[in-house]
Amino acid sequence: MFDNVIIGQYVPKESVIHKMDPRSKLIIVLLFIIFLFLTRHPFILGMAVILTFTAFSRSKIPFGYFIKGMRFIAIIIFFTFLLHLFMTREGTVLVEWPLLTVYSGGVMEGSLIALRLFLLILMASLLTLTTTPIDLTDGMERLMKPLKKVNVPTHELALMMSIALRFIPTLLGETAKIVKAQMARGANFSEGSLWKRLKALIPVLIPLFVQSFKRAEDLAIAMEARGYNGGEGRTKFRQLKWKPLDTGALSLFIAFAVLTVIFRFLE
Amino acid sequence: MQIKADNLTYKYMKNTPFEKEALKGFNITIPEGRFTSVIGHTGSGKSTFIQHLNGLLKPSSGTVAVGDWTIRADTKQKHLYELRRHASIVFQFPEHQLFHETVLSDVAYGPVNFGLSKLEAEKRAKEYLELAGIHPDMFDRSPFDLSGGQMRRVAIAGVLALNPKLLILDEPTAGLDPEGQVKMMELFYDWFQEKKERSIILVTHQMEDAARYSDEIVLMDKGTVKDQGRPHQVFSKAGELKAMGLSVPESVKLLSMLREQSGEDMSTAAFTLEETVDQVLEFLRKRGVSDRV
Repeated sequence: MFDNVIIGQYVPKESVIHKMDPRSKLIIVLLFIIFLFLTRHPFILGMAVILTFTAFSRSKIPFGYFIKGMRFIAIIIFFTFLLHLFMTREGTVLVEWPLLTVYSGGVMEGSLIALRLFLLILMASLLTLTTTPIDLTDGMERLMKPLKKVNVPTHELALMMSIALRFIPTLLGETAKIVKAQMARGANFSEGSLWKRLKALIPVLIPLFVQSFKRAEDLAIAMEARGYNGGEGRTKFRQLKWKPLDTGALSLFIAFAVLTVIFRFLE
Repeated sequence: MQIKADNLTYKYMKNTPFEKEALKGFNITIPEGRFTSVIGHTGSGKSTFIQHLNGLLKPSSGTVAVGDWTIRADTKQKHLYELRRHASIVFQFPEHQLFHETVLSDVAYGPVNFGLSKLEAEKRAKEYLELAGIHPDMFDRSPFDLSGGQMRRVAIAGVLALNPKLLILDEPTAGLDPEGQVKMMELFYDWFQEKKERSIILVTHQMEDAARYSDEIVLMDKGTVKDQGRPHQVFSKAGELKAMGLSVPESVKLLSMLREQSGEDMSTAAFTLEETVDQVLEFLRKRGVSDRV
């Protein structure tokens, strides 16, 4: 049932992308997302597509695996496409029905948004697929370090995030187990009205919450028992290493960002 | 219900980088009306196997026949819903499935799902709660206010109240104190003996339980069935079991050592305290020390 969820999933492989420093990956994804939404120019969009797919193919992650995990997101993308398709009133009229009119601008706008969303999700998934949660939070903590000067609890934020990420698979496993236990007691999640199906989820959600609170308590006690008291004076066992590879990859994406800005002014 | 698996294969996370073959195409037949224990090392595929028996998992290839139902890779959930009325699973730590406001309504949840009226379901819930040793005072309390052991018994009553023909137990005594373990096993055994057509499949790491209650033992290793037979047959191969990371019951260990060190030809198949004492007495008699015992 939950075999195909890829959110927060890390796939261990030996690849260039896996070897990159989490900091460079984080900056790249951030840069990419910001500048992807700044542009409508076909040349830049083409470049974004090439960059994304090159990165993905270098990661050695099977594309089929990613596509399967995209099922839910594909629905969201499709609806966004439809919304833009019908709401945009620009360009020439393509189809005219009593209640619906499709303009050529709508097709353009819808496709543009769908493409952007798809690339965005591909890039963001690539980050989590190729970076262990530990590396990811280490990277974030390091990048947020300047904020510590203005009293932002960066260490605590990073820790909270790593715990949250760490427990996604656990929660999914737990959910699958409770779903099965209730199915064995005759719960039916796939039949009946929407209301009935929602109500069928109560026997799953309540035990799940109860377990989560219990687990949070246990975790807090275990941390205290091992003398955890925040980030003050804490040193790192794993040191992050910035490699030439990171500088190279980051330069590539900075070039992309610069080109985006140039093309925007040229328009 | 008779169980018959034919080339049963199951892959977890099929078609992903994490694909793992948990069941590697085995055949097995388990007759109706028996108490069968499934033993095997962690990761041998026991839990995966038993989840096929009421259709919670469907084979990746091959078939499982349970009673009149045959489960294939493409079997529809709707078809399996009926099967679950007759074949129930008690999962490991079943207390994690409790959710209702009161103990009574939690136990009645299953019977109501399977079509009983609320009144009938509650009547049956009361019956099985008492059988599980829950005092009527607790019926209206929240299941989350109970102790761990009580929660476990409420959860088990919730499964027994479905009145299944085939009861599948996945390490039902894990985490209980020794007395609680014995009581729990007795509860299941009494339930099993009550009607002739009832069958139990017990997954366990407690070799003593497997030996003591089972008509038959199924030994699993690395996703396939390695051995199937009566307890004394399976537990006579202590060396093989050890190689798979399993042990034999303590009583068998004791008698094996006695046999080894004395060189006496004697049976090592004794699974209760009485049987073991009998074997030791017989050994002493053979050795001509009977007058002293």
